[in-house]
Amino acid sequence: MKIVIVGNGTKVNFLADSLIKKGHQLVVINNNLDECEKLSETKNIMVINGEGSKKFILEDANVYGFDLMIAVKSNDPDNLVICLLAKKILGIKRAFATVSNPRNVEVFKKLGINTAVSATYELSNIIEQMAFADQIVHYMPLDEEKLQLLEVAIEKGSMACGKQIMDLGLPLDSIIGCIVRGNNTIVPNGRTEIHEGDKLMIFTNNVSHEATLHVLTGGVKGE
Amino acid sequence: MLNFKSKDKKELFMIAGGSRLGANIASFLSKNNKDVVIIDINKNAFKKLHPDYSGYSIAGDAVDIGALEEAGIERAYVLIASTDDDNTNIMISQIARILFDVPNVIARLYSTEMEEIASENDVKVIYPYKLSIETIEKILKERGCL
Repeated sequence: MKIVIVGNGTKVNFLADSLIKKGHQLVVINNNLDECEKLSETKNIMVINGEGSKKFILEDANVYGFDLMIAVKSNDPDNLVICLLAKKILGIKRAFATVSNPRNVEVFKKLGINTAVSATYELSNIIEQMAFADQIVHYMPLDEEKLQLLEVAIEKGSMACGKQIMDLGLPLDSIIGCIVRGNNTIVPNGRTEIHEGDKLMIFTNNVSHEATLHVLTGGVKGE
Repeated sequence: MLNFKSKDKKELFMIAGGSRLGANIASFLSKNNKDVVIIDINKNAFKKLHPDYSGYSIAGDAVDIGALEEAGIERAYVLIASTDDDNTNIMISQIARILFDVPNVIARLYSTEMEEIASENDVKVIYPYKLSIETIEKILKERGCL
């Protein structure tokens, strides 16, 4: 993919390394000259020194039609403008932004940028979910809580052990997408039996989240 | 000049950004007996207000919807985005139009290259340098220099 990153600091450095490793073509726009020099010395990427929320800088960078714009400046209005320019002027279909103010996740969405993330916002979600049940190994909110991907470990004594999926009584809007059993991954159907030690990858939503966990983890803590 | 749409319930004039423009327009509106509120992240900005200013002054970040709500944006009839940062003014004016349906939104921008983005959703954009050029042109014409 052709990716343009606007921002500075360690965030950009880390992102760039990770994306280069995955074989993407990168352009970085950074307004700090020292950082730019360091980036271009250490990495084989195109680096542009300038204010990335300015249209003429983006035009000079020649990133028309790139696949992805990533705006990680510390200033939310700059990131908004960068994403809007990417979509409306540069023909970049996907624009991704970080926001400092957690409330701006919702604001960006309403202004047409539906892929804003706030570290504080994500963290509060994750903490909330972690506190909810020990059995959740991983938790990933997708589409802002409306969809969630859960990784749930089946512990000894769970009421789900030994049952076939169709007999679990899972809520209708929850689905087990995959079961990790030892070194195998199983794409389950209704007749697949749940074993102790299984890790289940589950798609659910915020409404059925609790009921789903109850079905899978009930019985463990003396329930 | 600007063709304002009327809306009965909304009557607040909100000035986001206590720049010289913001503070002076707030003072002017207050003198004309309008219901005015000015927001700026820095309290010192309010020193620029006219001594007779009788509107509200709120210290807060005008790109934070919490601060805008506190300042009463739901009741705003007019919002003028007059901070010193173009991108901030673009964001505030789009928030005012899309999230709060403020009928009349004016954004002051220094750079003209953002027109396409800034004027979306019926935001009226003004550029100080363009206005200065127009005025200079007028003066020069009056004096027969052109």
